Amino acid sequence: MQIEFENVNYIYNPGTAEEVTALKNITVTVGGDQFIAVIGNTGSGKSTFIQMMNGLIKPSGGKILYDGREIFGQKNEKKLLRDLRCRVGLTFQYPEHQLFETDVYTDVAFGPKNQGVSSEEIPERVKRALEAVGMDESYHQKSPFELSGGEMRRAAIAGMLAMEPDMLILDEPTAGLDPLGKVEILNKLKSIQQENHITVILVSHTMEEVARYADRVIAMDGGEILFDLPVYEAFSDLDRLEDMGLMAPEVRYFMEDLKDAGLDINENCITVGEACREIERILSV
Amino acid sequence: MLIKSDKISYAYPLPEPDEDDKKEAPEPVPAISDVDLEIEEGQFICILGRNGSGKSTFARHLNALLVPDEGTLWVDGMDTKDEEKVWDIRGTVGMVFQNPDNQIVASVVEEDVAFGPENMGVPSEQITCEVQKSLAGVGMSDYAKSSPNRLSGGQKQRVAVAGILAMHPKCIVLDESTAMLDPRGRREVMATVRKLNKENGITIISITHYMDEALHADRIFVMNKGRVVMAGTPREIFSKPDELKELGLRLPQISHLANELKKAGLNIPAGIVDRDELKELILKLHADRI
Repeated sequence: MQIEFENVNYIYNPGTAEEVTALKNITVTVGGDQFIAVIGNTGSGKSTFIQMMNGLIKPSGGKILYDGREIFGQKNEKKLLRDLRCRVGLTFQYPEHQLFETDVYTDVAFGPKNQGVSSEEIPERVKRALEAVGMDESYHQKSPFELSGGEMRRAAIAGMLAMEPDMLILDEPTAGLDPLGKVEILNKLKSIQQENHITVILVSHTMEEVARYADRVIAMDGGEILFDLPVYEAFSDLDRLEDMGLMAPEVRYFMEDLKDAGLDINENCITVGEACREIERILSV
Repeated sequence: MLIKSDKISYAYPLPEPDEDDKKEAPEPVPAISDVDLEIEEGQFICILGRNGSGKSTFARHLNALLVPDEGTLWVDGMDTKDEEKVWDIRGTVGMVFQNPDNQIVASVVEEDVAFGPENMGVPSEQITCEVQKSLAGVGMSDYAKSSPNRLSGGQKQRVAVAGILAMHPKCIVLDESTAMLDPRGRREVMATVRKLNKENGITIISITHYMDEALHADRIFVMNKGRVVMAGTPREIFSKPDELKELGLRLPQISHLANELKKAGLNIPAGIVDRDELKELILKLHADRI
């Protein structure tokens, strides 16, 4: 699955006093076998950007091609959009608020049922989706309200997985979870992405998460893409991040401290493991 | 002693069973059990723990939103069970919650900040002055006439803090107040409360999942299954990575890096919590190499 944005703009409330340009000249391609992080402060245009990926928002200007095809303005726009939303799953913040069925199984089955998946195949899909997020059959009959915060979050993600999308977009899936809950969800997402060769797009405010899990980082500010880089280059320029009101992982600053103190060290380490190996290297000579 | 929690326990009441329900009513499960701790005035305290560990339930006791089933919670010498003292207690301990959109009541920032003192019957000339001082205290003076829904999440949380400041609190409790904020908002809110702690001596009790926010606390309490299971300085708490991991917690990145280097055989002590301290240690190790 490939989504190409060509000079895409979006204006909220055009022609009124409340007019806001949310996206300016976005040209970018997302898709393929990749874990992509989207970073940026509130108001940077991130959420408009991700909602366009599954057709929830139509551009005010420019073009979006979904696997090479336009959707908006086509005769069969409605059908194309429905197909798109089966292929591109989007969860908003706090997706547990979207759990509404009486038990976990029925909730996860809702998507594929709606999608027209045959009733023989549904149980298998639900089982697989829940297993992928680490929830075995003992969870099937539980009420969503008996689950912990992290489990509810994972059940909501399973609901999307059961539709077997080619692209999975998650808006801050770890917000409000405790450290273990965060790690559990991100590890699952990473292995789902790698095993199924799909695209995961993660909106995150936690740079340590981005550094550890993403292959590629798209940074937004004021409705524009400020950079679109492999994760190793994303945190190399600390001043650029500072200007955007963003940060690098704490270890990155620490490595900069060591460099400034005169050590001959590669300062661009973004995870604890890398920083540890680099420090060991300079001390072992 | 500002806060003294003397073995308090609390269970949320269960709904009354239907009359024709033959099943026996289940026992309520305590959300907190025997929480015993003391907090001195002027301290910066962090409470860590997994989701469901009882942190927020404990926090709600601090300004008498909940009162203990057993034990006693003293706030500045007042027993929170004393109904006559409820408003004094809420003036002493203010709470900032997680969702910035749920705690602003007025349509103009300065009116929102004035809400508390107005309710307390403070004369209006004095309120104007209080509101100005409070907004200055959180760096939001320029937004006095703004509409709150035009503000960012971090700005909204600072307005919520100003609303508390206008009541002259001795203590502010932050119940995951940065969880829904972007990096800029998190930084703003943390810088604001650190300043209020240092310059105004206001006691801060911060409940958080961000371990790095706990690095500069005077004292940390770790909760698990409704109980306080660890208490100490950041250095003491973060020198026990295995114990923290058991409790579903992690080290802040700097302590984590120091711990990894220690495990790799470098001569680095446990419980490093400061970037400069770790830097000096590594520079020394580097200089000592032959």
